[in-house]
Amino acid sequence: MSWAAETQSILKKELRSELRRRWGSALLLLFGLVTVFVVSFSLGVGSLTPGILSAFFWVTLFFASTAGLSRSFLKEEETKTILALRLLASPSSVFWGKFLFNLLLLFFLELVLVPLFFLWLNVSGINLPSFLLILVLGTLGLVAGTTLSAAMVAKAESKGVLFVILAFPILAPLLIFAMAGTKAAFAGFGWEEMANPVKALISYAAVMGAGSSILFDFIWEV
Amino acid sequence: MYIKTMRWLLFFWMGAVIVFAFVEPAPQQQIGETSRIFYFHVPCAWVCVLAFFMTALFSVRYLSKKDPALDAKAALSAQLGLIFCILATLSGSIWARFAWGAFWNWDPRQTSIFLQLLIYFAYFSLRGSVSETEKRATFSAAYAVLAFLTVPFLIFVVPRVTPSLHPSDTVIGKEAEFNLGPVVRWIFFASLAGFTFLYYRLYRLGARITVAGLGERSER
Repeated sequence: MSWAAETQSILKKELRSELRRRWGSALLLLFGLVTVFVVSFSLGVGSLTPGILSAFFWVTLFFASTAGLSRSFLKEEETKTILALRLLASPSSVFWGKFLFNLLLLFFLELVLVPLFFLWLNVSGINLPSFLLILVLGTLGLVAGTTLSAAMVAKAESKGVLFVILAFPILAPLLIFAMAGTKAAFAGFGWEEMANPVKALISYAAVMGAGSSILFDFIWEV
Repeated sequence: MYIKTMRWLLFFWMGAVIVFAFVEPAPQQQIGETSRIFYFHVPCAWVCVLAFFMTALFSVRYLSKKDPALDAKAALSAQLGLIFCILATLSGSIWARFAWGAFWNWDPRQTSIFLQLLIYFAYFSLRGSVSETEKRATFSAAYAVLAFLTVPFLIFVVPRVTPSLHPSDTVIGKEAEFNLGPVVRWIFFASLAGFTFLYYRLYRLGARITVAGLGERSER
């Protein structure tokens, strides 16, 4: 099988197994809901500054997504399918299959969380195209920066807390760029103010994606 | 003989740096005496980054050669880096109190040194939670390389996206000639060399012990 076909079949397998165990993604959604709720409830109704809004937005998204991202390899370990996967597919197609699946999972999560965030926190007067651009690039970086850590955590002994500890220092530059970008978008600024964060986000996602995909070969075979 | 010579050389070099750092006039007249910390803070931060660079380098070599000694060296360099990172964070925080008004301001430079500290902690947490030797070596090597990829972003990109109080052109850059007098530059570079030498000596001594330990373990 070619690399593309193999990656596609890994992605299909992931989607199918996720649909079979729907409670997994339902739990993830509920977890995200709780984080948005806690943030909006504790802040109350009132107009918040763009800086505070964007900080809370990414904090919410970070915690909601870590709950989902850390599971991607853990569930293989739980169902004892990791060995079969190692025999059947090449490391790079496993990596990119998981990568694409995680990306879809996060987009699905955002589809629910973002409208709720806007609704509950009375967000208005934003530059929507720029916001969506930052969101998509930020999500790409989020997945690029965490897939490798997720694969390592699945094989380590203390799984739960370790993922956040490993992922946070790697994701910190991404969160800084994404917060700067969404802050400008929430303030309704145009392209001028967005250019630097957008460039930084693109390069982060490219560097982390390439780096992780190379390093993944080594850790997958141990 | 060699070790003894090196020890005395290091002792006199660092001693001279410390004496000159306090005897000469303060490097920055505006912030006065507190600016002497410059001679110790900047070299600590430099060694912190250098040690992590060495860890990443040994990690890359470990991934290609699978030699346990390289893994031990990577971990050793990270241990030394962690010490210098803590020193740089503390000295920077003290200096920030007197130069900027508060111990902690979340300036981009403070953020990046704190994240470097978190990277070191994460590296050792990962090592602690994998007990199988080869797996631990491979995982921590992969993590060190991935974490090292974020360093350019922290050093060069973050200060451009968020505003900073930290001077960036004092040592290298066009305006450096105006900012630092010739004497200050001499002491500073001597201190930089001294700290790097200190790191190198600690690393060499540590490497002897760990590599000897590895040999003993494989003999058993």
